Amino acid sequence: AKKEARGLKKVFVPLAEVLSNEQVAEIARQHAEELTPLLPPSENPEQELSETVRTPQFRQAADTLGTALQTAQLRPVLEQFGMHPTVLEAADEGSLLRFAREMTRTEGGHHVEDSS
Amino acid sequence: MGDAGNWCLIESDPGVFTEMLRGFGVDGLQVEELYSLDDDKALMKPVYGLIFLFKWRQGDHGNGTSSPDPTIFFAQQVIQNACATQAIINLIMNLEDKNVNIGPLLTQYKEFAVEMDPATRGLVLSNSDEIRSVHNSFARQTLYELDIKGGEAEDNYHFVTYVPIGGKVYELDGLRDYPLELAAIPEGGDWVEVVRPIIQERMAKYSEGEITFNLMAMVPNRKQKYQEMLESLQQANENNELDEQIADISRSIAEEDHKMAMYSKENARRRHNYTPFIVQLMKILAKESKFVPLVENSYQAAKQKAQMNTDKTTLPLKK
Repeated sequence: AKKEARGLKKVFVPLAEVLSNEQVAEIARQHAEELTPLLPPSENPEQELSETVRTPQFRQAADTLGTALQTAQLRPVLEQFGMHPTVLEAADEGSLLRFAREMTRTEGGHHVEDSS
Repeated sequence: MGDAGNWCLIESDPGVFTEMLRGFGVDGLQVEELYSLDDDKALMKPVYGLIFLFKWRQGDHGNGTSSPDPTIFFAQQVIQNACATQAIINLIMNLEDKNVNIGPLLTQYKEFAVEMDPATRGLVLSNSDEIRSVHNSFARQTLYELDIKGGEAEDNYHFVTYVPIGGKVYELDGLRDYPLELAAIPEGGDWVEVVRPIIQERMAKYSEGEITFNLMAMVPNRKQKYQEMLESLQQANENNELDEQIADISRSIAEEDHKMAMYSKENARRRHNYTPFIVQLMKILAKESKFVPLVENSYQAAKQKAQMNTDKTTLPLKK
């Protein structure tokens, strides 16, 4: 896995590209209760949530965070959110893919094959 | 340029500047972005000044006569991130109109700084806690600072303002020593007509050099203007012959209300720290087993793009 992660590290992926799409917006809507309190105050929180992943402000924040991750600078931020040590290790490697895999493991998502 | 202090980088946007004017307690003004100098709708009369934003480069000289006229209020730019706010304040300080109330904060600054030289005026402005806190309330919020080489790209943007003062058009550029006198306004003439070719020439030059720029106008508060028009139309509308015009004006008022609501929504987003939201969203995507496939798709897309770029750059070598 490490070797592959290193190989992929050369390709930089803007996190906004990963998150700013209709599929993510739909999943966000399904988890409105957890997510709307983390958004700016709004008269219509559901609409705000629906629009969020496409706003330039969200995209900019996502790209900054993605850059921090892929330049191995995100650990101090992730520590504030109580991330699992293996997720932090993935972040230290600067690999978004390994980070996503470790996060999936620790959050209880389906097991992901490294060879994909 | 001196210490950047705690002046944060803010976005150049008509919504930011218009709400910033409210924050300063200014009544009767707003900022509109112009897509052309013939945009009569955005250029609601009287146009109090134009703000030109461009990427600054060494040795960029304008044409005009340096004018150390003490009756012109001109503050030099002594710190970097404050340049938009300084340009706006320079403009407002030279504005005299009974329909505009610049509010206690800027009146106080003006009275305090009016006797000073341009460098000291700039220094006093950059040391004003109240002005700085309004400016900083539009800054992007993050939980962390990144160590990315080269710094923020916006750092090199520069603002100059064009204003009509006493029958002449001046350019106020905080990086110069004095205001620049550009042209005389003919008796009864519109100063925007006078400055238009000057700005157009500059825009053409920058377009050629692929330098990004944009242009904004300081105009009257449009809603207030429309409401005045509406009232006089309603009073004169004895036989309902003005109904159509009244409907038009009412629509324009609704448009302004909508625009201001958008501004405040966008500014709430600008001020918001999205980090906790993004982290939570990634956790949810991970739990739903969607995160890895999403990342993999983006990797594929990025790889293909990188491949295409490589092909493009190697093409000329094959000749």
